[in-house]
Amino acid sequence: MSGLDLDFDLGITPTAAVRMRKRHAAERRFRTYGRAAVMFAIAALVWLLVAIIVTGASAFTQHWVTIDLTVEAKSQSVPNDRLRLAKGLALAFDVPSDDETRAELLDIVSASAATAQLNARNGDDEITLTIPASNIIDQYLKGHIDTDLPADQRKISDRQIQWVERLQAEGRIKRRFNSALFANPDSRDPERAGLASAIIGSALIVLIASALALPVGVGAAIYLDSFAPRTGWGGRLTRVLEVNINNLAAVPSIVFGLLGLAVFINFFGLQRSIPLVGGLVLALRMFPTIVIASRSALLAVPDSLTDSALSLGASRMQAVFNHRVPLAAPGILTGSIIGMAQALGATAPLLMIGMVAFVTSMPASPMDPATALPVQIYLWSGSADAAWAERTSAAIISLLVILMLINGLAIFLRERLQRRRKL
Amino acid sequence: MTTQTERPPKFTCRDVSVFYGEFRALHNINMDIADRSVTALIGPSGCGKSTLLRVFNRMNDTIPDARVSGRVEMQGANIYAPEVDPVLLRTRVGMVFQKPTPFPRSIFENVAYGPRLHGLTRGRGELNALVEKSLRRAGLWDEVKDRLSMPGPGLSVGQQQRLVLARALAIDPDVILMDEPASSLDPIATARLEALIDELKERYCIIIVTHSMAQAARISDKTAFLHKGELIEYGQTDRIFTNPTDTRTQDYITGRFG
Repeated sequence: MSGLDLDFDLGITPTAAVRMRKRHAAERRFRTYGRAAVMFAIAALVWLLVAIIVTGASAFTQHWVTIDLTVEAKSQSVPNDRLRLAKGLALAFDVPSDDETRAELLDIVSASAATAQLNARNGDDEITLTIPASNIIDQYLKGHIDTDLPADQRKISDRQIQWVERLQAEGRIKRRFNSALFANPDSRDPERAGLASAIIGSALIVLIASALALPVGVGAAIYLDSFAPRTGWGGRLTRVLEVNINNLAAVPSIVFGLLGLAVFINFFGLQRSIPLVGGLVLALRMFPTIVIASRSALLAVPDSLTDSALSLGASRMQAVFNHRVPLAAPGILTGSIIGMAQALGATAPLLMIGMVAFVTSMPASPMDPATALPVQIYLWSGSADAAWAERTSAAIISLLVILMLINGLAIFLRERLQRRRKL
Repeated sequence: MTTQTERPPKFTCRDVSVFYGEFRALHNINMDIADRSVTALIGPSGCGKSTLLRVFNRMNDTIPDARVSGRVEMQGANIYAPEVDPVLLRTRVGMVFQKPTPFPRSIFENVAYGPRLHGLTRGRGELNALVEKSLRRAGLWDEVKDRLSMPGPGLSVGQQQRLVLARALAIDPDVILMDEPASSLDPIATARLEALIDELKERYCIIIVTHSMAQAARISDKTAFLHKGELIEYGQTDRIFTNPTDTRTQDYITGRFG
């Protein structure tokens, strides 16, 4: 402002100056609100991610124990592998083999994994076992058990701590990547439980839902955009249809679950808990999302392009499919991916059609009982053990990673399509 | 002028009215349009001149609720007869729109779209030749011959308008309709386009809607003045501009309204 009298030069009156100050202040205020809103959103996201990762990260590793055992062969006095294992462990740790000690010994390794190996090698008497540590030991080693508590208030006994320390001193405990989390189906033992069945189930559900909802949804959107009648009774019907597709998108997803239960399971007699029914139900859920996204993508394409093609003697179909649809393709794609991501995260409708069952086998086809990732998360979150809590968070991390991969793919495809459009 | 009176008219309109729903956009238009000449449609905004232009290639059919009554003949054949396919009609009657609308494709693909659509060429060689011929006719060849694979929308607005003209010429129509083709062009590009129109009328029947009376006076052989959906006056351009019979025409061309 050096020496320049703006008030004079621009003829600004005092009231105008006040008004200007107010306008600038309003703009500054709005910027502040905007920044605050963005900060709030980022803080919420960071908080969520940190909370999940802090609880869940440790579930991606698992402690494994290697023990040399001298075991008896199965006999009248040692009728099963559990007893063989317990006696072998007692011998290895040099402790008396009474009932209480045996129970504690069996609690330090994954007994079910160990007995399976013992059963396979019945003849041998010198066996080296490499097996997952039990969830109690695993949680203790990960520092999730408070050892300051009196012994009767914690899950791990003083003797068990001594055994583990001895194993550690001998270097027989190793922390490894928890491949069981992705290779195994669900199990009652946390150290053997995995997401494989849920991931396959979710993949099948999303595939079936997309295969049904994508062509129907995109086709419906193109028809409504370019071919449906616009005038007279036909036009009225078109408008009613469009409004109701929007309404369909707002219907709570649990209602689709009830519909699926009534139609596919009770009426058509399909089995409960199978990915086919899940896919059918979620196709209904995806359909309006895809129609609405594709419709708005098509609306954004200028009519002048279709008109130009028509004026060159293209038929309506040629004009729409040569010019309108390719330009709307990135938007249609984004909408479809959002629909797929919704289907991947849907829980309530799957609960209604019985996909909440405890499934310990891998589904080989869409007709086999399976579970889905979000339902698996729901199931695991119901167990109070620290071992389940960390696996719940690990499952959430896995689901989020899959969603991010899908979204990344959508962005990649959209960029590529747009670059090709620009040439 | 003698050639025009000898030839039979390209288009004959008898009692042509156009309705958009309840609204009547054109009232009983009667006019003959000569071949190999430029006919200008002028009038204030909303007078129906664009609607009349779109009667000739049945583009009004694409507007929901639009209805055309009366008889429009092209070389004696009613183009609104039930057996006429508007898609085929539009291969004979090309159109250039107000805003240049190149497809988001390469320059070559823009021009090749029509011929490909109708299977006009055999093999790449013929197609290349047709694209070159069309671009030459539109006066664009020298500017783009080295960058045919560049995107059409990357050209300047004036070049884009000549590109869509080349695109329309590529399917070898008899008639070219132009809806205010120069309204988004700068004066130099406009001059180029007008020179081009002057060349093209040797071969084509050109009907042009324009807002600029100077432009109508410069390029057209006959001028039609429309007002509120009615054809007020239609005649030789120099006569319309020097000696209009209707007072409304006089008011419009002297700038008293519109």
